[in-house]
Amino acid sequence: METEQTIDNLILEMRRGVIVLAVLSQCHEEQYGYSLMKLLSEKGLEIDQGTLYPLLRRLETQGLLGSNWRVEDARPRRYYQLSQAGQDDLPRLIHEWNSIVQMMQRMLES
Amino acid sequence: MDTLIDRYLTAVSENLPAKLRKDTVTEIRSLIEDALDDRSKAEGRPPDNEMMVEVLKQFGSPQSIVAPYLPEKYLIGPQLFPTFSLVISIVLPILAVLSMIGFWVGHIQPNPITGVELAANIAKSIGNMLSTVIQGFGNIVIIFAILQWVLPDFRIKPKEWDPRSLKAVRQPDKIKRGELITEIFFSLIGLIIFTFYIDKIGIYNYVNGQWTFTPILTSAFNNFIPWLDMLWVITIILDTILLRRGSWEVGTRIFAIALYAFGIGISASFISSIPYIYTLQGAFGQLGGIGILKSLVNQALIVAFAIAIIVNTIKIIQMLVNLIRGRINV
Repeated sequence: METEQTIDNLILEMRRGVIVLAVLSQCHEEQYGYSLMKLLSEKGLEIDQGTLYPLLRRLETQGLLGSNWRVEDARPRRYYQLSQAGQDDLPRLIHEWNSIVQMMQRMLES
Repeated sequence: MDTLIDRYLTAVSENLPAKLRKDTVTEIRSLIEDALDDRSKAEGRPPDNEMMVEVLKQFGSPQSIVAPYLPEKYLIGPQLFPTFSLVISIVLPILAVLSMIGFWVGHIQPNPITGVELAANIAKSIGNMLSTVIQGFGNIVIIFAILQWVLPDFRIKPKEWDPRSLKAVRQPDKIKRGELITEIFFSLIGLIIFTFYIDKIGIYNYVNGQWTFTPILTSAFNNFIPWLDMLWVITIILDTILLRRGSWEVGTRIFAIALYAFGIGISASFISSIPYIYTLQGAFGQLGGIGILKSLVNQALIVAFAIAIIVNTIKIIQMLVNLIRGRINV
């Protein structure tokens, strides 16, 4: 039971590591919080509200995302999209991710 | 009438910092409403109270949804904590020692004190010391908490680190044979002199081709001799045990703490009785200014016994630390 919990926590930690890149990669087009959560879910990454929304704020504060409010269906929504800095930096993050994947594959194969 | 969502958002709002409140609450409202719409479509019925409960359960309690928006808060953060520990480890022992000295200097009495008074004073001095240390700890915590609050990113720039500056591994259980043998030797000397040759302690003068002798210790000093003898005998017993065992153990450490406390008691009792344990009248009575000389000697003796108290207090603290560390490492 204890081991099961430990493994669950380790998996959670690993998944947390990919969230930033996953979110940035889906923000080429404007997304609001709920639509982004659904998009990520469709692609296999379940992420809860408590993690996603503060992350969007943080990425905005860091300048990687921009946001603007729009009213749609009589409902104000905050849309997020990659900023210029985000567009410039994303390829570097993707490159780094690919390197990590290759490194880990080499490591696990051996 | 307010809905469950309104109540939820009010609770969220109350827990958010003012600058984030408006934006965040509006955003969370739209997210909840989106989720509610989705669920309503999926279930093919209009949203109702039950559905709101389900959606809000998914979002989690207001406190849990707010938590990630808030910066981590510390009374004393990890950046300041090493400095805080350092200050505590320096200031608290100093406060403890100063409190002890202050207490005993303030309890100098006109007459030699009895054993019961001594025990009561020791208890009071320990209570006084604990109270001072706790107050000091509280004040330091407040100062660091204010620093943390005013300068949340405060960090003392570390010096360039060199592995050669690493301290040698501590060996707290290792005994120092040379020190123990020296201590046994001087305890024996003290025991012999103060037990058998007490009447020989005084001022020797060579006047007109003749030696004269004037005792300086008074009968009040004689009251201390059994206590001093006990101190030296116990010291010799402890040191002999340590030499035989070859290292410090729990029992010998507790024995040593009791011995050092006993030493503090005797030193404190001496401080309380300094003016009465010796006399210069016979030796220097013929000189002018005997009062000034006596006052100077009194002060010198107070300093000497205060140093003895400090040394014994430090030794007790070291023993306690090693005792606790030993227990933790078991």
